[in-house]
Amino acid sequence: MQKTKKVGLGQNTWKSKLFYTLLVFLPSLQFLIFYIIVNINSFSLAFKVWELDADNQVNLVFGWKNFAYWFDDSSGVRTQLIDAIIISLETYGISMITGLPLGLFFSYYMFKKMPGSKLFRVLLFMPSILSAGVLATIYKQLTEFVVGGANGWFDIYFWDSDHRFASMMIFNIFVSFGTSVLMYTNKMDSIAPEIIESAHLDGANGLSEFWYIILPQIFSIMQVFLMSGFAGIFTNQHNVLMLWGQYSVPSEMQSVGYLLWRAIYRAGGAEQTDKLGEPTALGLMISAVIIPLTFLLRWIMNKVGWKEE
Amino acid sequence: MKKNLTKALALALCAFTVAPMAACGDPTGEKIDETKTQLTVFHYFAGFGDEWLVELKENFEEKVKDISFEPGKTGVQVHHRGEMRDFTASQIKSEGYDVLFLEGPKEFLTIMNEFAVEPLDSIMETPNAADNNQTIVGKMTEQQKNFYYHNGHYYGIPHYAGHYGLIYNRDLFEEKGFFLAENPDEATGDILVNAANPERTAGPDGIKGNDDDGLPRTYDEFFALCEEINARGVDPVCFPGQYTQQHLMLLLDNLVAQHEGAEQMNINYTFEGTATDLVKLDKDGYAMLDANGNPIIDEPLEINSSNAWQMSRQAGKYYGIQFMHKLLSNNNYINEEDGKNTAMSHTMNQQNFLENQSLGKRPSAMLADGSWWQIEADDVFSYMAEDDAKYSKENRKFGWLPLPQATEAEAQKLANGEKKSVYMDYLNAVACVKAGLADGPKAAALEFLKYAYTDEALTNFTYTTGTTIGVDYMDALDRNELNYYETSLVDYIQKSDRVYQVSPNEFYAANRQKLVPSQIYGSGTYVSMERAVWDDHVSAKEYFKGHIAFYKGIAWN
Amino acid sequence: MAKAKMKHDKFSPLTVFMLIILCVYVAVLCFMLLWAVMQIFKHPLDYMKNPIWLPSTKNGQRGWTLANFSALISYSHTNWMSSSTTKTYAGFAEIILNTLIYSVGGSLVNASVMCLMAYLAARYKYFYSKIIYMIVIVVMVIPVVGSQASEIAVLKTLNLYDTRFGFVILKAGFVGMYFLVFYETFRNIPETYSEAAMMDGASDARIMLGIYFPLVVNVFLTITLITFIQFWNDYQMAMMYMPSYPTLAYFLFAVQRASHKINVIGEKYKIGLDRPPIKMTATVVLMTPILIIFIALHERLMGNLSIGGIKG
Repeated sequence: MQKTKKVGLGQNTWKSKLFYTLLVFLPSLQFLIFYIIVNINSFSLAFKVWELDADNQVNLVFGWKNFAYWFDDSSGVRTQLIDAIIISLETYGISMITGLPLGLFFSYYMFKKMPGSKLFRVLLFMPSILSAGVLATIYKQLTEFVVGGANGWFDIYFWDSDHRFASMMIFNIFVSFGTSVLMYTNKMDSIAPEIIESAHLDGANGLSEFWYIILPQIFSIMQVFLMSGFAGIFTNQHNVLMLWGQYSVPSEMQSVGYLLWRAIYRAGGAEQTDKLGEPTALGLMISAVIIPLTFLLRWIMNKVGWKEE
Repeated sequence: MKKNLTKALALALCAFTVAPMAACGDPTGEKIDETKTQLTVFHYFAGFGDEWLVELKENFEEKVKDISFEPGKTGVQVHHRGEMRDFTASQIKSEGYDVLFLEGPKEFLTIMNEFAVEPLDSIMETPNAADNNQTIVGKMTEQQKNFYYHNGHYYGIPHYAGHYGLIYNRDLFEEKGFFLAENPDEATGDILVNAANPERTAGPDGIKGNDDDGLPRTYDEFFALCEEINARGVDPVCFPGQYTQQHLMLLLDNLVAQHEGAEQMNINYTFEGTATDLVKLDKDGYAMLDANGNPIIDEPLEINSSNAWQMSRQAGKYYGIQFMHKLLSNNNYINEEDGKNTAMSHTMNQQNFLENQSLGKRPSAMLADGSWWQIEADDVFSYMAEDDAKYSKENRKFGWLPLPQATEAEAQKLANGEKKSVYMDYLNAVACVKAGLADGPKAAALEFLKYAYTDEALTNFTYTTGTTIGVDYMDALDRNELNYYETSLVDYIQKSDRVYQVSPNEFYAANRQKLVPSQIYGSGTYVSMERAVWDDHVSAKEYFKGHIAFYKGIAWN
Repeated sequence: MAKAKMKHDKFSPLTVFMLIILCVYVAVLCFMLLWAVMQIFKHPLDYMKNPIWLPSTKNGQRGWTLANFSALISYSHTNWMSSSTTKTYAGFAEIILNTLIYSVGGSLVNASVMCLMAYLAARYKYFYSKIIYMIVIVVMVIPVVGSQASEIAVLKTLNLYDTRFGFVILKAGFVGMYFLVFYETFRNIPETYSEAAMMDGASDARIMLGIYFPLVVNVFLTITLITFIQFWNDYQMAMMYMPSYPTLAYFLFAVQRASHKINVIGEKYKIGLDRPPIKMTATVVLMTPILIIFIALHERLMGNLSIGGIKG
């Protein structure tokens, strides 16, 4: 598509300016409140501490207590947080190692117009528009009562401690293909057929075609998914809420995203505004880690990845 | 064509979402009758349901219909609302409930300290003419009185009572002969009764001729019975996989209590008294055993808030952990299908317990559940009775199993009457009245509670729910109104010491959340035994050692 | 396009392997949905006898029934909501209303704001337009974590916490990927369209509403639809930001954890809510509208969007 440069309307008439100003005002205000002020408030919340003084009066002071909370191990929070970080990294790694190649191969399959491509494309997309909660509920019930268990089709307990992590990961990968496969195939479809044909003339087979032609072409899309997946490492909850409920998530399934969610959910109730500082402090610390890392990852990928011509 | 399809689908979508709106009206609840004093009652809404409260409300409204509690009004109108939630002092003060039936309030000491609830002395200490001149205080144990008598007043009355234990299917036991024989057949090695050898042992109470004959007295007898049950095609014990921790750790708590007896058990909450049953530990922290493999008991120890962690060395805990370990590590003893299915809820497990045999599936002989299980399984009883009346709650026989003793010596003591069984009440439910009500509603609220604790109302509660309230009215119950299970439960309570898990100890109150039985039996990284046994094959010896460290780790003063 | 030229490649081991995996995938997915649907007319207490197939009358089962729907509606009228609000229940009609306000209202507002801001930024060469564009890019690139807590605090300060209105306002932001989609679309519309109108002295509003917006209706509908689906399925937002106004997805979440007894029309006794047929009915009720939309409109949903713009 060609780009038309220098677009512009009703330049500099006062009517246009008024029109523009009126329209941008409310959305800008919304942004000001719900992004700028919210984030500034995040900082102040994170440092706000309510303390009881000798007379049992609640006093507001500023300090690092909300941050320290996450590193205090007398209540086991630090261990919990460290475990959660490991779990978050682990799940990201697993979904990258299994989900990403599978997604790519699926897309390649569809790109090649192999049998059933159209149907597969639609059905792979479907889980991403059905509520994850719906599918998680069905999945849990089915694996417990029909597929697994002592009287099920297979003699496996999907949700005992040996299998539940795998069961959860399988589910998350199962529902993850929708958008990525769609984007990959759309992008693959836009590859000029001449490139592929000439490769074939040079004797490229399926795998080398995939490696040398397709991958470089879709690398930009892959990058987007890698980046968004990476940015979400510490917010992803892997549907544990639906699989286990607010308070019964097994400890080896509690990712940072879940810890954060739970802390906010507990503090959200009407009377506990003073508790909002702890999750906010954690959020700030995560942001402080993840933002530079995201930029680093982007830089690395631009250095070492394929370049689209 | 495609447009039409889209339109049709859109219409279908509308119909789908709008239809349910037409189907239901908004329940406005009861209309307020301005001529009557208004009373709003909160109740903890869980297994016990709310039918008992509906009945209580109706009976009470009828009793006081001609009494005026405030000028210009005659009679009382009671509204009630149930939820599964706890209250803090400030919530009681700020929310509009006049009378509250709470379950296990974590901060009741604070609630009393902050005067969020009304003193109840007037109704608790004065003999009630309408109740054979009994007082409410007279129906309470010393321990309960100690707790609710605070700063010179009574502030609460125990309510819903219950604990987890084992419920056995008496019909199945009778049919299959799951009773221990007085004279085991030495030729065949059969320890159970049969047609040729029908005489049962005297059972836990040591008296022949009553319903506990042939039931196991000791852990050894219990597991021997389990082996036989399993060999005859029945799973000995079932419990729900979704709530294993709750069901099993509270069963463990109950086992501990049976060994320790009420007095020693109470030290776990009061942190006051002499612990006489602590296990001696070796230098590595393991229990020291005598030649018979039983733990060696240490010198008596005076317990206070700062050394209360020592209570984790109680012999009852050692034995209880042995029991649970044995139960969980052998699949012959449990119904795996229910116990390891994490989506198996307690009511579905109850359904299997009630239904499996009639469906030709492998049944379970015993259910690890709360004493109120029957009311939770109400729907299954009714559902099955629709097919055949013999399956109704009235016609089937289940029993509250007297839990076995850890050793032969303890079993002897129980049979001799040197020791009493314990009925544990871990719910710690309480009834109270919000402080600061206007005179009229306050008088009505007090009258309401006064009525709720008459024998008449208490027995009605039991007839409706099949369970009990944590005060003593067992003599007043008409056994003809109770089914087999209810009778067995009530009989058991009547002959047992009652332990109500509360304490005026400040440290206990402040750490109530961590000190509840579903939490305190942890060990190392495990809060519950089934994970330790099933997943990591931790031995009972290690678990007991880990349990002491775990308990010690709770922030003691 | 030259797609037609590409014939079926010969099967390679890779594609055969993929075919097998895809077939398994489809079979599993279809079975999951089919199984859920098979449960919804089953008597809740029949489940233990027949956990897989359609309702029947074998073995004393009760056959086809609407008991599960009845149970859900009854449940919505009991005190099912979290104790963090003073409200204790929202009936089914109210739940549907909340869901529609949230999903339809929220998605329309969200798409409209994005569309509007994208239009202004793309077509007006003011300095502020550049700022708008920069804001979107910067905010999207920087993953700030954990600001929900602060959001809740700000909403509380503005008295907008736990209100439907506040929630829609929260959703009325212009930052997001779809802003870029709109932006590109507007940029790609040739100037000539508006020039003629400007000659005729049309006002800014007329040009926007009469000329440009009609050109992006398709994009607008697609984005609204996608956001609608997202909001329809979202249970966490309602739980966190407007606990007193539960949506259907939130209700489903509550149903999954509910266990007490409920009145059911046509039964003489109350039935426990933790039976899988009741839970499955809730999931099917939630997913059916989305499934219908997907079947009818999957071309629009899947065909139109790619990163960086809408395909023609």
